[in-house]
Amino acid sequence: MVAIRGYLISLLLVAGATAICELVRPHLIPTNMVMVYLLAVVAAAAKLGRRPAIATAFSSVLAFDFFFVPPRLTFSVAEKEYLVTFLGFFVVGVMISSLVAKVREQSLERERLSHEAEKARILQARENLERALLNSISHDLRTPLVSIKGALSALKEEGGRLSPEARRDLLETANDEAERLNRFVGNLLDLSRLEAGALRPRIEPCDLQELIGCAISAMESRLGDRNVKVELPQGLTLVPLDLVLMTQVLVNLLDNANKYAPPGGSIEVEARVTGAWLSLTVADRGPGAPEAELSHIFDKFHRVQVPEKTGGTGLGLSICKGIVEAHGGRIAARNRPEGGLAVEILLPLQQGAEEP
Amino acid sequence: MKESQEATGQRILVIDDEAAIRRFLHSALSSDEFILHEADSGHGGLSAAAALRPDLILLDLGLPDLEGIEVIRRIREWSQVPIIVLSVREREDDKVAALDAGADDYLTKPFGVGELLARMRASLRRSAVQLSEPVFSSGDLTVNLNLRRVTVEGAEVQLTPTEYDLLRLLITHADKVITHSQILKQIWGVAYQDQPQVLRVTISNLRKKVERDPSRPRHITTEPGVGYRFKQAQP
Repeated sequence: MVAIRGYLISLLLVAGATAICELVRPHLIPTNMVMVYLLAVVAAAAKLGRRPAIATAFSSVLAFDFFFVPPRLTFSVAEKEYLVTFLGFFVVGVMISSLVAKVREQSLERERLSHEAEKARILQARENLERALLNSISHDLRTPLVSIKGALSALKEEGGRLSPEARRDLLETANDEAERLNRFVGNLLDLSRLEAGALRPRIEPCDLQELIGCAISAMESRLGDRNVKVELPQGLTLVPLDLVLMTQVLVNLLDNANKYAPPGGSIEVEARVTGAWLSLTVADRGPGAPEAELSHIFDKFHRVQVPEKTGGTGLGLSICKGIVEAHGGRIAARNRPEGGLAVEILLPLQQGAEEP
Repeated sequence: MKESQEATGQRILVIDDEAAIRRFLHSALSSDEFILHEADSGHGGLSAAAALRPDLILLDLGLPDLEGIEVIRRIREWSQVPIIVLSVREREDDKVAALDAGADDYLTKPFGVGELLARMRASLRRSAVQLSEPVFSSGDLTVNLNLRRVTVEGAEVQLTPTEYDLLRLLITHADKVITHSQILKQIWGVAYQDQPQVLRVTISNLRKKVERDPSRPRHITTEPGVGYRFKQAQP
């Protein structure tokens, strides 16, 4: 089919060249019309390939002879000189066809090769990422299970020999780790729902103070002796958002701040309305993050390297990003001049608001 | 179905298809206080509820044979037995639907036994007595239902009629979650059922008057995506 189409187009090119020659016939001697036909051959070579180009050259000779070489509208030739013109045209046409077609084939081949190399590279990168994700997930799932299984088996098998303090410690470990596992599974589910596009925010006017209250109360048991300072605009501020999802965002941010804030230190939550945007900032007095990592901390499974074993699952912040973006908002992290990390969320106060 | 012991404790029916969860509840709850019965399906649960006349039902929403909501509806056709729904975190809509269908409360899986016991006792208490005392108190908050008088740390606070009605609704269902639409229907009427803003504004104003720190409410707590709960402080 493609081959036939090429030959049909070559016939159209010849017909076009013939039409142009007919238009300029009063002003040109027939020999110069060969140039117009040559143009058709070059076009055929560049776009259609070698064989249609040779066919173009051949039919050009016939058309030229028939329409323009006297006596016109016959294939007979009065002056024998035209036979040289025909031969010259045909040879030049075939050579041009071959050269142009070769260049075309080479560039197509190069394009195909680079396309394939790119595909292989993407595939490799995806495989690497998937392997890293799988490693990370199985590590994060298994670590708490190791503690839970260990603590429970110690109690079951050696319970009689253990001191009451040791038994209480083991039970607390198992309980804390079960909670950690539950949070991780929750985060994994959130992330997969976000990626599947199944987590659509149900946006309603919500009380800003209520939002922050929900997040703090969900974090209460994990905060220990760290204090959360809340700074809110005066009066009631109703903001359009999904209370459940945005509570989850604040819990994750508080949890993150809580991991890095020194014991007894404080975490600051500040909300401001600036123009058409609500700004929510969660800031800690921890070590902050290396500047180069600031733009990556919202990437899936990215962990800022910290000396102690405070590392989280690397999921919390990427979920925050997903939820905030599903609200049409932005999230960014910066180091505070006085030390510590500040994460700021910008949410549009009206649907379809412009960028800040 | 399994009889735990011959005792005078309250009969609890657990409807859950997961054997491990029934086993854990059985070990954790069986005592002089409670006698546990089990059913592993919705239909089994319905016939057990009819045969046993339990004092309280713990219902898993994810049953294989019958929607949990349907189980609640069918039980509510003939009984007001307290039903506590057990469900995973991701299903806020299911919880609201279960509560609106007549469930008394819900617990998010996984849960601690302490929390479960508190919810069970609160539900059993409520079904036994309907707020007979004219004076309700919880921590620093006191509400005199006869005089419509509210005090915080002994000082009287002025509530608007709507704020008072809302507070009264919450304390008459103390320790129980009430959904947004249940509150809207009872305080503002059916026409306001789809206007949660009025509720949010009133809750915010009420908290400013009765909570020491409205950002960390102790009395009126939010159950995100579900509703509100008045948390009664233990005396």
